[in-house]
Amino acid sequence: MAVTRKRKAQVEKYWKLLYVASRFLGKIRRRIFCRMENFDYFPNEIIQMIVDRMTMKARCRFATSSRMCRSFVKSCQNHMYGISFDCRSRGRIEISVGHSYQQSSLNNFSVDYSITFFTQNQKKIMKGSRRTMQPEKILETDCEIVIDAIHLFEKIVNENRLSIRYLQVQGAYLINREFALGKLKKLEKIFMDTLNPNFVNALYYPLKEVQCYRYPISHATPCIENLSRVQNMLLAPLITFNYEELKLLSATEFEVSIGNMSAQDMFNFIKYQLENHDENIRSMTFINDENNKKQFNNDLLELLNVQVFTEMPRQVKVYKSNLKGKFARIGILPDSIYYSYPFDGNHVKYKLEEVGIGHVISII
Amino acid sequence: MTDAAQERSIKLLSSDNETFQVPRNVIRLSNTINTLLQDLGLDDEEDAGDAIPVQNVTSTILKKVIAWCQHHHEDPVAADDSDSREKRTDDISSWDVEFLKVDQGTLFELILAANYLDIKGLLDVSCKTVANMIKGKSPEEIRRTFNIKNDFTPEEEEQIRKENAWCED
Repeated sequence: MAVTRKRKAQVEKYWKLLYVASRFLGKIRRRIFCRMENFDYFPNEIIQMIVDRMTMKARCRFATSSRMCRSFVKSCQNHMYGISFDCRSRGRIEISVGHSYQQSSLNNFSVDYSITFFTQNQKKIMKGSRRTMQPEKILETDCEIVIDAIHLFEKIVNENRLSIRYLQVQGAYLINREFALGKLKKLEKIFMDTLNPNFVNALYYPLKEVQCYRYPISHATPCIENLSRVQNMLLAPLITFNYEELKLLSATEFEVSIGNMSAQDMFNFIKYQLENHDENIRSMTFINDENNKKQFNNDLLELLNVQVFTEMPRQVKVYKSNLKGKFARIGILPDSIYYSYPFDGNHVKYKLEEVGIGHVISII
Repeated sequence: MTDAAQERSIKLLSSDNETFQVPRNVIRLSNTINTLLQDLGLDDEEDAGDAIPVQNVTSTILKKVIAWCQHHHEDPVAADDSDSREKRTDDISSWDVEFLKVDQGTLFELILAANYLDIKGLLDVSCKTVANMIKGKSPEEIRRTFNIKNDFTPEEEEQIRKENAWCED
């Protein structure tokens, strides 16, 4: 009996030892795999293969994670550009057509294309491909991609019975100025020609206006030789502001590019919007491009100050940016002020004092 | 390669000394093994003799590689991996998706094995799987997933974050 107990104790001891050893081996295994899970472990060509298979956004995020990761993405990063179709309504939809390219040889570019659409709640890559082509073919292919994107947009809207009240087309091409402007002009025409009028009319809220802006995007800015000149040219609205057309606009929120408008035009516009539109207007965003518009702001101030809109149920503010020579969009929502500086990327909400806003006009 | 050569088997020896008998027409997907057999003049031999050492691949991984080759050995031969070929990441077959549902260490070892054995299809699909793992992740999540050390200075990081702000919506 005593012998059995002794043997039992021995077996238990061995089991304990075995358990401890297995835990120890497990730790070693985990350590090895931790090492395996590090990208440093891979030869460069494999990391490059993985990066080549990533979407553009994934590449950008990957590049943001470390120096080593950045080195694999950098080669194409400086040449990225994109177009986006930004449609805002009760449910926001954005369709973006993006691509990056890198020069694979003297006469050939390797281009990644992707069409993505976003809604408020979901994000989905619809299409992605890589092609090699000569530079002059890039534009041609872009046009095909844009047409694809427009059809995709129509399909999504139709299938989901979405109500689109506002559609914004944005484009950014920064290879060189001539190339960029040529591309944008052509793409603008394609967009307008392709958007099926029947589709536009069939929308629950018929689309009354398409605004097109050109703007440079942040990651491509190193490519521009003369940033401010290009910026000014690119920022000119593709569709010139037309007060008569804007009268028809019925939107809950909208942006207006000041462009060549006079202060009187702007004043009339504000007045008209406030007097004639329904109560749905939640925000008015005025885009003022640079310091040479000082006179405009002063004139507008004066005009607004002499008028009293006591009956107006809501507040409208017009802000001017103090960021001389730079472009900024400043908008107002009922609960926040939204300040957008394209070179920072997306719209960012700031407190007023942080952006150094100059004039604040209130009409109550 | 003659029909007889297609029908015979090749022995592969893993780094931990386990031998695997693989049909020749299955392992043809490995360019490394193909070249080796051709260079040594063993391709038309009845008996390839000793096992071919696959020094960089463990038995666990080799077993998986062989399983992948077995499933795909009748696939049509893919065109060269040129830039003109579409590089989508959403075209992984359901079998491959299931096959690659492994822990990260195994997946990485599979990539290294596919690279060493020069099996283009497996390398492509496993790289796509890793690319898909990165999709939708923030830089911080990418660092966590792959044990990447953030070696940027705060200023550099801020600059890069600004540059890449467009992808942070």
